[in-house]
Amino acid sequence: MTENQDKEGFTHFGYQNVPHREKVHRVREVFDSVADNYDIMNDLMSIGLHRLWKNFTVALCQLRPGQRVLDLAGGTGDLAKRMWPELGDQGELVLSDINAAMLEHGRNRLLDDGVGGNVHVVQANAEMLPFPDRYFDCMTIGFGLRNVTDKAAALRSMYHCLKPGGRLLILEFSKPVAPGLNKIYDLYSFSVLPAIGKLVAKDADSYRYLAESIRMHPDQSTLKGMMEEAGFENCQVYNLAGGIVAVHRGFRF
Amino acid sequence: MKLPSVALAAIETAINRLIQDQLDDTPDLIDPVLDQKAICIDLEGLNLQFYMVFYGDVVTIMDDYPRQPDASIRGTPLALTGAGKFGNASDVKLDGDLKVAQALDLLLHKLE
Repeated sequence: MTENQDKEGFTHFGYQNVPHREKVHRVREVFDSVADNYDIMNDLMSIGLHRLWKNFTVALCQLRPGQRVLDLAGGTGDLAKRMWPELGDQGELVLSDINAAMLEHGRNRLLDDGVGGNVHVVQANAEMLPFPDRYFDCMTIGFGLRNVTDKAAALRSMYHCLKPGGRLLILEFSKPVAPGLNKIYDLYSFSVLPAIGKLVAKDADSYRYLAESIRMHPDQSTLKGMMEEAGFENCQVYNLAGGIVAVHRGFRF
Repeated sequence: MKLPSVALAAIETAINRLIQDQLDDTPDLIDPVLDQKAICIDLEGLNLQFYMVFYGDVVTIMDDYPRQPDASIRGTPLALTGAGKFGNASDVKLDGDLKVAQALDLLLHKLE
């Protein structure tokens, strides 16, 4: 049993309790629905801050030319696009997502941005990564882990695919730590976000799910503990925007 | 006192950038003795402490380290980096594995 599954095989989908298998389908429906507007919604919802958060995450990867990197839940390729120039001709970048619509969107976007050659696109479930053990120097998962049904299984799978010395970077919404931020953040999440979603993406429900899934996601210290349980060492948490977003980094040695 | 993690990330990025920039011209920039070693840095005057952990040619900087570090270096920021004429070897105190501490001290002085 893991933190997000009860004994009967139920797990959360936002604030709802759904069977384990159903979550995968419902998350897929959400991302099928938002894929076309994903980029513009990211900019609107975060007032552009997501770009800084992604830059910060990539800086913490400390990439070197020739390294092999996996961008999990890579969606529209935002992190992949930033990492690719660091890897040089000898490096290898794998963009992966469980959702075909997001992956197609990401692949097209990378091609449009001239990112190619040593880039592979793989549709995969983070809980069962189809890569050899000790294969990657670095892995990233940006705003994706909270949608994974069995996070503990995913963390274990990621750990196995990392080389010794390899690192995992998790960029994800988290719990505000700045005083007084909670109330404003709740108001924004449950009133403003769905309204923007309805107006721009014609889909308030998916953005209500976004707000709910953020609240159900493990907080900073819980996620750090889960990483350590999966085997990661030297885990660090970097709070951004008062803890609304956090980067977790852990190493396999 | 601990530095905010975002500040540590900025220091880490800057040091790694310096290392990477100099590695092409100076392949022996990092003494192999530093590999997989952790060093506690104690900045006198600022009352700040953090850890530098080496793996290959990458250094990570942490506000906390779960094990006993291999070495520790204490000194003012100027003494540690040997900046200008203010750096003085006697202002830097080394503890633990002295080879490791000296290798880091040397690296910090080499970084331009």
